Amino acid sequence: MTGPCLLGLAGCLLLAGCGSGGQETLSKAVKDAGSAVATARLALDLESSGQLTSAAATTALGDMVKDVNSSRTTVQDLSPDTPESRGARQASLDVLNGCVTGILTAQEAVDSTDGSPAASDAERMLAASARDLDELSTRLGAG
Amino acid sequence: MNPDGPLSPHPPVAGRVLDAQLHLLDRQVLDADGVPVTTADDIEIDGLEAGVPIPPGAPAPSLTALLTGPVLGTRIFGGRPPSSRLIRILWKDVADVGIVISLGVRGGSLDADWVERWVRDKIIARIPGGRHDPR
Amino acid sequence: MKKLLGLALGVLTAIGGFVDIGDLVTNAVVGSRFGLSLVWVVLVGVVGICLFANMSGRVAAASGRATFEVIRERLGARAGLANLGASFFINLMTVTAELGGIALALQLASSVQYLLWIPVAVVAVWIVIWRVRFAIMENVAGLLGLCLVVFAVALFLLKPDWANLAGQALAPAVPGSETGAGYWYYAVALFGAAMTPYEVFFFSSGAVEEGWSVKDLGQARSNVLVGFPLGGLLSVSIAACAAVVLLPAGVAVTSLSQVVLPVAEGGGKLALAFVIVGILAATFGAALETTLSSGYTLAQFFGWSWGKFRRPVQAARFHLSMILCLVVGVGVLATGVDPVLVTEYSVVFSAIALPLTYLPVLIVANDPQYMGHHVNKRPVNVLAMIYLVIILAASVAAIPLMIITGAGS
Repeated sequence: MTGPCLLGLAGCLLLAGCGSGGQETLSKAVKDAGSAVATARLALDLESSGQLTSAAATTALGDMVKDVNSSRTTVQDLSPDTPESRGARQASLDVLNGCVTGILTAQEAVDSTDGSPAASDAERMLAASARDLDELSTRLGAG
Repeated sequence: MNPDGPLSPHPPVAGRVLDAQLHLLDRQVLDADGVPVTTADDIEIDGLEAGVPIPPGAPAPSLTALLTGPVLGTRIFGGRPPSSRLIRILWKDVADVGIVISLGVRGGSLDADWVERWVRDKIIARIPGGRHDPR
Repeated sequence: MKKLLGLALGVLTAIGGFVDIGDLVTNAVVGSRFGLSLVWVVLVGVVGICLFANMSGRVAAASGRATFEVIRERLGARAGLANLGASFFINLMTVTAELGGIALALQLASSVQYLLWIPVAVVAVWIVIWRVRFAIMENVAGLLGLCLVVFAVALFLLKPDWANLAGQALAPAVPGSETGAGYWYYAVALFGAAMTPYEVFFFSSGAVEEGWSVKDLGQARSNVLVGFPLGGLLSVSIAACAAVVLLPAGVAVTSLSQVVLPVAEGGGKLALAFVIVGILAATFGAALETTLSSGYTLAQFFGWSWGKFRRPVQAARFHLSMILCLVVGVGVLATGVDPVLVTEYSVVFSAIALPLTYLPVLIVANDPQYMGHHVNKRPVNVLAMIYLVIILAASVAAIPLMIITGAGS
């Protein structure tokens, strides 16, 4: 689990200083991804409890994957000039990748006919992504 | 008449006084059945030349036609199409001027209607259901 | 029953104006980011559009002349052409967005890819415009669009903290996570969404389609007073649902699929079915309304024969122009552009174009040659002048706000 370690390292580097333009972009990307993950959790929850059709849930999850991917592209396109900002970018990309994996797993859970992957697995991954995003945004905000 | 003094008062006229800008230009032109033909884009006046003063005693210039078509472009952006290219609605065909300009003739007989007839015959009539009455 | 159906024009105009795809999403965005602190803008917008649509409906009923004929006659060819250019462009953007919206709603119902639904959407819209009687079109689309009332039902089923909601609405404040510029940008967007010119073009042309005359002035007023406040209520319900479910969850709405989640949470799959039918009817109705408005504005400016009450062969250029609009709309959508993004821009541009459309209508509503003795009464004129100031302010502020906030992001 290199995620938290990288986060820790990035956190120290961020506190040491960060290019502000890149930081704003990163903060926004993190915020957007947070919204997408929250939507995915809500859609998954509603579908599991039988309140949402799988068609609507799949559409919502598909839209959220697109949102996170566009945040990821924005972060990728940054050109950081200091080691701190490079670290911040890498940490953000790792977290965003985790978000995409989580949402895709949720989509598979919704579409699956044999119960695997289970919705609870997807929810666990999404909850972990949500925590990572929270930590990341705190550190970006403090930097 | 003293050219520097005030104008002599306008002789009383029988009939109506119309202002071209207010009452004619940009008004809808409807035919005898009430079907829209076009909008009056410009007017043609006989006996008037740009930049040439009217000699005293000459007969008054008269309105010969309403114009439509490409004159809209030239009216806004400048220029003037050649006289043979103008699409005219003859003033003698006008029956009434009110909120709209009403003609006394049917639209089908007018030059001004040619684009509508062309689009109708070449395109719309060829699509199934084009002649269907919606009422 | 006939009296109720007589209100269909107002209801359909309002649905196409207040809960088309752009407004559905904008209202949800506003609810999910600002709570109910922008509800007062919807109220201001509803009063404004009631005023504006009523005037143009009265002009059409009293004189038989629809709005764009009046605009050309009052503004002259040059300013009229500028207005036509702007209005037509905005209409075209909206047609594109609505066709996309129909496809998005169908995707939500079926999970079949959105791009595959676009040809279906455009052919369906065209067939209705080509063939279906105006009255049937407005009754069916208007009635089915009323299914969106399920947003209000879901709001009750969600058992929100009413005191909190009322507090947000009555004591508006910019939430901590948003900027003042963002707040005012969305205020202008909501105002532009409530007062889009195509609603007026459609309503006044619809009055001519229905053959309203001086004796129908009362019916014109009922249409306006029932339809638009209803539309406003639907807008507020959508925002409230988003405020109750999405705002606490930290979700900022970016797509249609998020808008229906609160309804599913409140009422389950049954409510979801109603909301999807409602969204489909609303976007379809809006597509009809904007496509017809494109035809109406062009035909009325150039003096072509127009109207669904005529056979297509008797209104050839009118129908041809609408076919071309639909073709352009499909072409633009085929490039993969996000239809929701298209309407979010067109709504702001509507706010900019509004003064040029509003002023001629106000002038003509006071002209005895057009109106006989049905000219505007004094209180109406006072209210109209106040709104003229508001409209000018919104129009001037729109572009700077759009630049400062990066289109609300």
